[in-house]
Amino acid sequence: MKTPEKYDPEDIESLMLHKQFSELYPEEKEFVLRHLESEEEYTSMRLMMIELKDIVREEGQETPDKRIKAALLKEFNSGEKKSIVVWLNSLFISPTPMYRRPAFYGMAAVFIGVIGFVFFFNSNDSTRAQLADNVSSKDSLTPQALPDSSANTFVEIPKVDTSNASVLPKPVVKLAMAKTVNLENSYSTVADNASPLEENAPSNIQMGDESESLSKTYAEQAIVSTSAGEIQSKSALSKAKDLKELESVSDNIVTSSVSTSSSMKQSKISLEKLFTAR
Amino acid sequence: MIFKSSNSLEKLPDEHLMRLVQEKNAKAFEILYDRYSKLLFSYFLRMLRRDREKAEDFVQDLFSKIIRKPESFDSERNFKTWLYSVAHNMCKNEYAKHDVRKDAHRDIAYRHDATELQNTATEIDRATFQEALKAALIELDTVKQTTFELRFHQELSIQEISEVMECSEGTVKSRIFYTLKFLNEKLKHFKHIVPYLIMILTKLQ
Repeated sequence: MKTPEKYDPEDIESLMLHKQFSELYPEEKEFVLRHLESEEEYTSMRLMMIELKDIVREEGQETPDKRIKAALLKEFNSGEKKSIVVWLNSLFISPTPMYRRPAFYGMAAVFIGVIGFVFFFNSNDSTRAQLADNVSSKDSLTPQALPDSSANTFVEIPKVDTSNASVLPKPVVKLAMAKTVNLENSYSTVADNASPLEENAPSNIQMGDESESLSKTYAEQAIVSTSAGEIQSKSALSKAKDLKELESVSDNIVTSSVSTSSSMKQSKISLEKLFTAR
Repeated sequence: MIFKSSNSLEKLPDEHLMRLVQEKNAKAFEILYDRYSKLLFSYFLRMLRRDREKAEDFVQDLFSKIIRKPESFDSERNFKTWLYSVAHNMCKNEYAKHDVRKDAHRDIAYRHDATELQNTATEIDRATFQEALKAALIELDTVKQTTFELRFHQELSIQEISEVMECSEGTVKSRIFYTLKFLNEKLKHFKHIVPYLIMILTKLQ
């Protein structure tokens, strides 16, 4: 049966350095001779190792060039400054294209930040919310929606408390202008929808029915009222100087719009009757 | 941060100094350089066929790495073994680049091999024995040569070598043993003068 090793080959190294073969214990001799051929080989290796140690000791350590240390210390001390210098140098002396220089990344970021601040943080939040409302009310005035009773060209002007303000504030003027533009679009839409009714009316007259002339009249009224209301509203809104005046103008526009809407409804009803009778 | 004088810094262990280097302490870096630059330079010299210029470049590169990425040292590790691991990998990369070892025997520095020297046995002296030993070492493969270098020149323990070379302690031990056996075989013609040399050395001491 094979006995487990009590020593490692490393131990041979240690034994060789410290003991002659004759000084080894029997178990150490047995271990050594399992790895080496003979006492002679042990002695030979031992002498070689001692010589080797001496050679290594004599060789000593060579010194690298002193300039290496100086260069490394310089590199160490200038570590942080260097990056700033390189960054700034990239502005002026870098051979790379302007847009690829690191300094310009920062400058571009600052520029975008400033622009963003001016546009998004310097404006009135309520104005943006109201403009959003206008967009939704405009959407409801599509030609398909108009024949329904829900169709409405009325645009509500929000009430802003400016009782203490002597002069109409800028955002309100901007709002009024926006409303005017929106109303103009709304009236145009109404007019566009009224035109087909008018075109349809003459063909209905040929039916010889009393309601034919009635529907034509309603359609004409709608167009006239729409055009007149549009002109009046534009003029009144542009002349409005304060909020109260704006409110009264908007009331007039509401009345006019309701009238237009009822004319349109009546026209629609009479036309529907005509088509049913036919 | 507590101020430490350069004298007290010199007494600190490597790992502590390295933590200070990570905090940009130039003096700590300087002390580490002074402790290891000579050792590493000798190591590179022997591993790179005594190419002095290249050995100096390697020393500078290694310490530059420490400056640029001090955080790459894991403070839980032994600094010495980490440093030699980096040095060992640098040499391995160099061998891979230029296939240095294949041309070793044809290299100018050690063109003459051990057998040539054996023929000049009559002129044997300590210097020729040293040359013969160097020539024999050149014949070793890279792994055994590195193991030998770390063990006998850099005086690393078996455990440290196993960490540097990323192998078991048993492997390191057997490599050393077979290297010694190989050298003994190569230098057997000198064996009659070795006791004589030892005697001279003993007298000189």
